[in-house]
Amino acid sequence: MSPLGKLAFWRFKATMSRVTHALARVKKALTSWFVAPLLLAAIGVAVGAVLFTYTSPGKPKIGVIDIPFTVLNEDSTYVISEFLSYARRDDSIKAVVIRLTSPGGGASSSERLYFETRELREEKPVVVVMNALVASGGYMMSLGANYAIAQPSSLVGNVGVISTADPLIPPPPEENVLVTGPFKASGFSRRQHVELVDQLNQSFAQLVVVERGDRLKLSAEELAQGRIYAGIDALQLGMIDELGGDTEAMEKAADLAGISGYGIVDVNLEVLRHFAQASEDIFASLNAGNDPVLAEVLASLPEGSEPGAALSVDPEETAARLQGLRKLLLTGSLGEEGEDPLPNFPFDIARPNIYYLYVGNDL
Amino acid sequence: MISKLVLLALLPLFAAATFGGAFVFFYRGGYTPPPSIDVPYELITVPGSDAGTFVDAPAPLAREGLLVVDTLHANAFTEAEALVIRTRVANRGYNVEFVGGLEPLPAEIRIRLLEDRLRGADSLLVMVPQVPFSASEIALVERFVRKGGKLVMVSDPTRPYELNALAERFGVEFRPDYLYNVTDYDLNFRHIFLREFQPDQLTTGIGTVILHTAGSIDSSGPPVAFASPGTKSSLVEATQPFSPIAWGESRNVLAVADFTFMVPAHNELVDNNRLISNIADFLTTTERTFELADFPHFYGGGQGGMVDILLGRSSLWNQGAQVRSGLSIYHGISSDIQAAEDVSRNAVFLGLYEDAPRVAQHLQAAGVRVDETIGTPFAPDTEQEGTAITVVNRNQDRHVLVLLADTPATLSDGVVRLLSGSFREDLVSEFVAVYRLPGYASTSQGSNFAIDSVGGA
Repeated sequence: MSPLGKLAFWRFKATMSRVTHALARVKKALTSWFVAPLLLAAIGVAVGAVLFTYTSPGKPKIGVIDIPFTVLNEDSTYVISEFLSYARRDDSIKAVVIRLTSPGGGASSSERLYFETRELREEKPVVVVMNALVASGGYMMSLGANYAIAQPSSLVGNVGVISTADPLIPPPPEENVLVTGPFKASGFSRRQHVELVDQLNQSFAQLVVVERGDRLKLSAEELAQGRIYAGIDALQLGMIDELGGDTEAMEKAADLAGISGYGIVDVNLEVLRHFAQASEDIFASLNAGNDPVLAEVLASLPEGSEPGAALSVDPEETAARLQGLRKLLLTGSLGEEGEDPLPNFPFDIARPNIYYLYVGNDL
Repeated sequence: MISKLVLLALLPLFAAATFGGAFVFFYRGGYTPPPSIDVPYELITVPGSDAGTFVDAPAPLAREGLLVVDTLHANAFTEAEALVIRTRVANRGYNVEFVGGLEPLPAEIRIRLLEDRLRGADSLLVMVPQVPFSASEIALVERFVRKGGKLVMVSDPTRPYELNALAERFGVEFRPDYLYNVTDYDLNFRHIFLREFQPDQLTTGIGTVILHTAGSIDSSGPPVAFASPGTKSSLVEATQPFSPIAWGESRNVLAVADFTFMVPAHNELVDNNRLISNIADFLTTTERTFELADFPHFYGGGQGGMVDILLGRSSLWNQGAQVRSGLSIYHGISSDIQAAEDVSRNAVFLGLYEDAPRVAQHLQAAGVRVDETIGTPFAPDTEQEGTAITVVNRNQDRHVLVLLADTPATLSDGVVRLLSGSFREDLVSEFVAVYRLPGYASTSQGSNFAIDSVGGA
């Protein structure tokens, strides 16, 4: 060994000796009576924090569902149902705030959203923030929530039904058309139609009475008139619970859920991500096949919904993809454009025309 | 060893404590969902009414007549919708004529058609006209009502209508509202009940009527029926006794602010059919008076019985045949030339001025004198030369038309003008027309008889 090598060896040995001594001092310190408990406690706190954060129940969140001015029809109801369903399924969401602006829409769509909101309420508190307009079917949906907040100028209420009936004197039956009963084609007489509409109106009014309970200062007969109220009047009449905005809604939702220090989840965005991912997966799998029928259907899809399109959370693009997906899944149904679903059937098929809808003018 | 185990237990202890602390911090309490309460759907009932059990049994008709149904004004109803009232009126022996068509007509043609039809009409039914009546048309209808014609005006808030220009002349205003009742209704809040009726021929036998979206009427005449208590107007929310059926200033004018109660199957409910029949009774019990301008409608049309043609002298046979032919061809009226007058029958007398004494009573009734000159209330002394005079005299239910002239040729001209309707240009009063051949200057001491022509229905 050269003298230089010997020098380096002795330096290394000396360094190791110092490290060994230092570790021995640390060990001694850690195992000393004062330090060891503190260290273990700190580790315990960290472990507890990690466990709380990453296991159930975790840090509570309030899910926010944003429904800007939306007429409730089959498509919008499908999407809103997905929002509600997501909020119900996500265990980290402990309460839900729905920001709602809607004049209502189709009767069955409105009823469906009421039931789904009520279903959500069975598991988590739901607070509705009524913005500029929550009327008719929109108000029906909001009845499924625990608590309703509106602004003083919000327009709220408009309980009632709109429908169109057949002419007073129906056209005579055609000789070459065979039906098996007097109401096989129309379903009911004009008078039954009128009765049905009134029955639905009374049911709607009773629903408000039942859901609002003692808070409501209006009778079912008064509700059935279909008036719309400013938020300030709606509060006095017990159609809502409080005047306020999003902050009040968050606080109320947290209060009802019994949580604090909560985070916020944008449910719309989460569902959009979910949709985008799901549609990409489905289109990718369809693209892999060689089915000529599928190929023809895929070729007919709107631009932006074709297989293999890049994952995107752009709402318009995702909406187009979803439309395409729905069309693909429901080929043969009565489409939005009214295309003929039964080419050999010689008559028009009427869609349901009963609405819980605020139109804002005299018809 | 034990102290080491104790030390090691600190870790899970602090972990649990941290977990618990965080839980307590973030979760101050639990959520208890509200109790689920369902709507008692089984208790929801819709107030509906049953069909009535009315059988229409019209009384024997005193005489035939004509109901004119206006369809000149783009009226917002179909013939099928008017079938019930049409049938009820027809069952009472009246003819029902729809005047107009599907296409809107120019105002001049409308006026001419209305004027022509009202001459022979006993009643006029105006339902939901979308084109307003012009001033001339209103004047025609006013004149018609003044002469005893019956007028029923029907509006409907669910259909566009322009009726108030006509209605206001009879003291009636159809308010631009609809009536509703949120507690006492038939299936829909706009289907209101009428249960309070003024004792009247129109309301005989009626207990309840349902109107399907009716308006309210403001009339200077008495109301016929009132909406049930609690009924409100879409214009005036205050509750007051609203009347959707009312008389006009005269009992010859009826206003109804709902059309659809007459339309099947709404007519079948409660006493609606009875009300429709009562309206039909009203329309077919008319005491209409006629004027000369209404020739030949005062003979009652083709079903009004025979008309006797009387000649002042046998040389006027041709003119008599001309009248007989014209009445039959153009107006469907049967007539025969008779030698003697039957005072129970309608008649046309044709003669020269020398034959005037045979019809002196009819001339006198019209204020006309024929001797050396012609005297009328408007022209005391008119030369007979080149003239023909036409007079109608109504005596009880009989009408006698007298046509006299200075010569057979002038009489022939007078017959032509009578049958063609040109004689209306010669009217000097409601019952007298004087015609002068071209080229014969008036030498009357009074005013020129042509300038007082009254025309009209």
